[in-house]
Amino acid sequence: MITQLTVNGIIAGCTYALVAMGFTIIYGTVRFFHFAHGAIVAVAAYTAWAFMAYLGMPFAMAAIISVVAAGGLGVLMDRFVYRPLRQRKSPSLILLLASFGMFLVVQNILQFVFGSDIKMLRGGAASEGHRLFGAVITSTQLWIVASSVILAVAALWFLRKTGFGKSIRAVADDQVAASLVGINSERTVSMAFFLGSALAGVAGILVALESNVYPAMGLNAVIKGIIAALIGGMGSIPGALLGGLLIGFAENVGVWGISSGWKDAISYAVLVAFLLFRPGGIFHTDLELRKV
Amino acid sequence: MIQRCWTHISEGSVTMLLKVNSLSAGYGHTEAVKDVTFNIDVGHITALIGPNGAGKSTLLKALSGTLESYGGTITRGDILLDEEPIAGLRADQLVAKGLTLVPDGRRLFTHMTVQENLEMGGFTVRDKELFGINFNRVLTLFPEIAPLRPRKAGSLSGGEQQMLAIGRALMINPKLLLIDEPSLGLAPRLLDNVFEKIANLRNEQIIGVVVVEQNVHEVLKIADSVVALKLGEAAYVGNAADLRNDDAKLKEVFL
Repeated sequence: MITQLTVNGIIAGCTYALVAMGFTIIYGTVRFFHFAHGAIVAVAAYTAWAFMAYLGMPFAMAAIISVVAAGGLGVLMDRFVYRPLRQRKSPSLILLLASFGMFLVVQNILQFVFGSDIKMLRGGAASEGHRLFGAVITSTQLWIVASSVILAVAALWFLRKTGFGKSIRAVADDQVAASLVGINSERTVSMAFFLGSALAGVAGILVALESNVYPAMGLNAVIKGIIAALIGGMGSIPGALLGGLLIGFAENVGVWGISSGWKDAISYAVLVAFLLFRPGGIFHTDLELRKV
Repeated sequence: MIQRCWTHISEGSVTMLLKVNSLSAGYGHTEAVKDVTFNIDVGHITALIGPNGAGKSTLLKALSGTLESYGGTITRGDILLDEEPIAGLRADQLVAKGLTLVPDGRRLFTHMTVQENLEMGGFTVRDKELFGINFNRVLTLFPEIAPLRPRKAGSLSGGEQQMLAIGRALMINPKLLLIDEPSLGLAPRLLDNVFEKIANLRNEQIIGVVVVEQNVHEVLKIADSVVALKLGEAAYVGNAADLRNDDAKLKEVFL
């Protein structure tokens, strides 16, 4: 039983980690809570579902298209909502409110277009689960774990080694200094939104494969993602990964013997404990994307 | 030994590098710089001096394209770099034209290493060979930086940080370098050292330098020309030597 709960925790944790990584990259560059990140999770899931259901597209192709669409949607949100607000020097509270607004609008559009009933997204024929230390893990779940770890490593490599990644880190560290070495900060912010939103898109598809597609699916994803990013240490990619796994593990193993309705309460309890005793998170960042 | 890709001046002649024409700039309804006109020559160090609140920093921000980031705007006038209008361009666009600023407070990438800061300085230098030349030149000018390269920039002393900030700016091999208050937070002995480096820079390279400085006597030792601001207006534009030897005039300009 405990091993099965652990496996379930790791699976859930991986999807939280992907949302958290995207959230943390965006937060690091623009310094406000991009809550509409959750809407992008849902849009990616619906896009993949629609391409498969309406056009009969194979899963892999639908998944790739919806990840790119998720990235694009993030860039559009930044370009047409956040950037005008930034240029007016709006405080981050205003940006947060705008972000909430966008989250609700997108969620309602999804409900209007696709209805509020639950859709199923399936990547292939349902396969027999594999046995692992007494727990059952399906092939889909193995894919979820593998793609999360690979994407975490890839995101870290991108931020550390590529020119675009370095410019994101420089803008995160000091926007004025970045512009004085010749970095176009608006273009860099767009890049961060694309990268972060594409990660949210991957999370959306993985959540859809593991459970279902429904309009409000983004809410749980973004809240758990934010908690994971905070307890990992805001701005840290390895922190987001560990934070996601920790939350997934805590809420699945923590409900052992009690009702699974307590999952959210456990996540929040872990968050509160971190905020009280280690506010910088596991990697002890000062809420900035520097130690990626 | 020093290679420059845009050297266009002949030996001995003085060429105008930057022309500032009736420039006004400020924040909201407050005009911090009013109708200021002056020129900067190639190979000269220009000291931008004046009491607190005279508009020195605002002027430097306007010239470097960073004023918008601080919530300000250029309201009137033109700035010409090599006869090309540049007023209103963003800082990153000006870097491509060979102009950059060492901002006040230095603004290093504090969580990156010294090496990474220098590399970020040369971010726009795509040519590997040119990058190497610029890098070696910076380490020749600031040999003290070389052994510090693996350390985080935030862990350096004030003097070391100032040298790194200037070194980072030099990684683009600028034709015009603006430096805002290099003395801020520095011990007097280190200040001499930093100013000496700035003078060396001018002697070894054909570069224009503008230094904003509170420490007037120190900066006049190395400056070729002076622009003094008073309440946003130009109170003196001219030769540094004239002010250096004329305390009465300096007082009049400054008070």
